[in-house]
Amino acid sequence: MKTDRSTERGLASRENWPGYLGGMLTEAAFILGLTLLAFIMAVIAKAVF
Amino acid sequence: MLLRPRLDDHRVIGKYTGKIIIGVGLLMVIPLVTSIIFGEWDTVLDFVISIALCMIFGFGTQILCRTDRDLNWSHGLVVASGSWVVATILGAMPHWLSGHEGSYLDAMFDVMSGYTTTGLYLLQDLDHIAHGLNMWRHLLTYAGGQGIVVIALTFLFKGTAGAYKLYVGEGKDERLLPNVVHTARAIWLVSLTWLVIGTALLAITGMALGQEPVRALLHGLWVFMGAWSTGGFAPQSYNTLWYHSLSYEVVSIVIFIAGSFNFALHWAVWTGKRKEILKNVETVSFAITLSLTVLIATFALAKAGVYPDAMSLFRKAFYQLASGHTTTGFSTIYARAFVTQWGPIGLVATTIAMAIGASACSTGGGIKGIRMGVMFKAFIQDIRKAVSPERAIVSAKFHHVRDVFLDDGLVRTTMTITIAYLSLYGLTAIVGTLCGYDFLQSAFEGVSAASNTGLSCGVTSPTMPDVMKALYIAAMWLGRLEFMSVFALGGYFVTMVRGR
Repeated sequence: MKTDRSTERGLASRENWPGYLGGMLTEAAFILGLTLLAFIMAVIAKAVF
Repeated sequence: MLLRPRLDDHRVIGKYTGKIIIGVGLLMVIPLVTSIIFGEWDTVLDFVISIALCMIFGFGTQILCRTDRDLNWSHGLVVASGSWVVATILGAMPHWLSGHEGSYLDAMFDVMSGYTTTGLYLLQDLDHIAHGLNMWRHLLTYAGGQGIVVIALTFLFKGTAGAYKLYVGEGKDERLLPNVVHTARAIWLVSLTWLVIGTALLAITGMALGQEPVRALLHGLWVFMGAWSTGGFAPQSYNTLWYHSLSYEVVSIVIFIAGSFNFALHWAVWTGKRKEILKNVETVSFAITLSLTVLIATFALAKAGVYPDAMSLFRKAFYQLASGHTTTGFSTIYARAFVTQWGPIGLVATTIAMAIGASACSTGGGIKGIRMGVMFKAFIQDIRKAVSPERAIVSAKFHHVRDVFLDDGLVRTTMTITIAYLSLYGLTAIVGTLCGYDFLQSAFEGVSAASNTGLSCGVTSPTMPDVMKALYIAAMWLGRLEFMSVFALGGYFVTMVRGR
C-alpha cells in the first residue's frame, strides 16, 4: 500500500511530493468548480430579478 | 456503582495535562521572537511572564505527578478536555497583559475562540495591537485547528499506547496511518505544505495590492492561519473586507474550503486516490448543502436588490456562505449588514450553513458533513425498508475513503451527537433572547459560537453580558471537542464527589 511505503521511507521523502502536489491541485480544482457554480447561480438570479 | 478516582488516576491526568501545557508554553516562543524582531518590548515581557507560568505549571505537574501508568480511555478524554481549559486560562495571559481586553473573561473568550477555531473576539482596538500579539492570536487558531493534543503528540510524545486515547478525546477519530503519532505527523505535513504555498500566494497578492513586502508576508501568514484553521481571525478589524480584492477572496476561499476537508480525505487524495474527492460522503454532502444555501441566499439577495450586479452578488453571497458553511468566519460585509441588508432569509440560510458545518476530523466545527450524509442515508434506508417486502434485507452504505455499511450503532451515535449540537444551538439562542437580543440574531450568533464559525451579526461585543460570554466560551469548547470528552471531564468530577 502507498501509505505504508510512505511511512517506512518517511512522510516527507522527495518521491512523495509530486503526488502530494497533485493532490493539492485536485482539491483546488474541486473548490474552484464549486465557486464557478456559485457564480453561475448569481448570474441566473440577476437575470431573473 | 461509581468508582472514585485514585491518587494514581490524578497523577496520570496531571502528568499528561502538564506535557500539553509545556507545548503551549513552547508555542509562545514564536510570538515572543516576533515581538523581539519588531522591538515590541512590552509585549516581549508579556510573553516571558506567560511562558514562565506555562513552564511552572507544566514542569510542576511532571514533578508532582510522577507515574509510570499509561492513559486509559477515561484519562485520555479527561486530559483532552481539561488541557483545553488550562491552556485557555494560561494562554489568555498575553491577551490580558496587553491591555487590549476589558477583563480576564474577555481574554479567555478570545483564547478559547482561537483554540476552537471560532473567530469571535472581544479584543479592543485590533488595528493597533502588537505584531507579537497578532502572531499569538493566529497561532492559537492554527494550532487549535490541528488540535493542541495533536501538537503534543507530534512533538512531545514518543508513541505511548495512550496517545490514541488523547487524539480521540480531542474530537479526531481517524487514523490516516496505522500509528497515531504518524497520523499526527501526516496532519502536520498536510497543514505545513498548505501553509507554505497558501502564505506565498496571499503575500504575492498582498504585494500586488500595494502592501510592503514584510506587511504582505505577515498578513499572508495570518490570513492563511485564519483560513486554513477555519478560524476566521484576521489582522484587521474589518476582517477580509479590508482587502477589497477579488483575488484575495478567491485565494482565501480555496484555503478555507480545503481547510474544512477531513484530513483522511486530504491524505487519500494526496496519496493517489484523486477521485475520492468526488465520491466521499462529506464532499458530496458539502457540495449539495453549500449549493442549496448559496442558491437560497443568492436569490433572496437578488430579489431584494441588495447588490447592483451579478459579480457583487456572487462575491458577497458565496464568500459569506462558504465561510459560514466551512465554519471559518471570514467576512467581506459589515457585521450589521447581515441584519440590515441580508434580512431574515439571508440570516437563516447562513445560520443553517454554519449549523451543518465542515467535515469531521478537520479543522472545522458544526454537526459535520459525514453526519448529514449518514442521517440522509439512514432516512432513505428506512423509506426503502417501509416499501420493501417484510422479509427483505435492506442495507445501505456510504463512501468515506472506503465503503462503509450503515448499522444501527453508527446511526445512533450520529443522532446523539447531532441532537447534542441542536440542543446547544437552542440553548445559546434562548439565553441570548433572555438577555434582550432579537431571537433570530441570538440564534445566528449562538450557532456561530457553538459551531466554531465566528461570523457575527453584531451581538458579540465587549459590552455583551458576562453570562453570554461564559456560555459562548462553554459552547465553543463543547462544539470543538464534540461533547464526549467534556462530558467525561464532568463525569470525572462527579465520581470524585460521589464515587466510592
